[in-house]
Amino acid sequence: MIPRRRSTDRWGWLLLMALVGLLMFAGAVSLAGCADPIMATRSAIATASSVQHDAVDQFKAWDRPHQLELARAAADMTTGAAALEQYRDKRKAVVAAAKDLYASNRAAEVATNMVEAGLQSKDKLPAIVGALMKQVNELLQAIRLAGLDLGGF
Amino acid sequence: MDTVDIVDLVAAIVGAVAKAGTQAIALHGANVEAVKAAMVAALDEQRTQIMTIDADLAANDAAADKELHDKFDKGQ
Repeated sequence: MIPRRRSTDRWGWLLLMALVGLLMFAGAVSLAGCADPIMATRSAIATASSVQHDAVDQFKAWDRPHQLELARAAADMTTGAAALEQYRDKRKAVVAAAKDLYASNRAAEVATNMVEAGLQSKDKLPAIVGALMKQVNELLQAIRLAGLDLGGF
Repeated sequence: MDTVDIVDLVAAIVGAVAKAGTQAIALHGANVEAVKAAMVAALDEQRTQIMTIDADLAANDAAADKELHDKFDKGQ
């Protein structure tokens, strides 16, 4: 037999439901806090730095045997020197892209710190992240044009 | 359920909410620090690499130039 609920029971359950709702709300707010734009930007900076580091490491390791191959394949000194010169011209874009990306990462770090300190609006952070990812792709593209395909990002 | 039960229930739930909130804040704080540390470490590695990239590539250039000269100087 189901006992009849008294009026105070109903108020108790109502209160319980309200507090469970509050608990869920607090959880949702906490989760939302974990995905804040400052953390997202810092994660993007770390990712861009790591991708760049790996890509440039692989490029440097490939650069020497590639140049040696060009030198060994040359028919004479003039064409060999020209082949190396042509390759090194393409390589300048890789070095420039790597240095630009590093500078942008540093600038993004400063901007993130300023947002965290309340000195700058967080509205700019998504654009900063987008620009970093674009520069990572530009670096990989420059490496591809120099002759080494590391795939996309 | 009488008034005492409700007060106990409210106290228990408020306690649970406060505990969950405190844990969430602590976890969030730990995540923030971990992400920040990862970013700083990655930027440091990157800085070291950028500082040496010109010298590393110049060493590769010198090796290739030597290879070219060795090949054709010996042939002459």
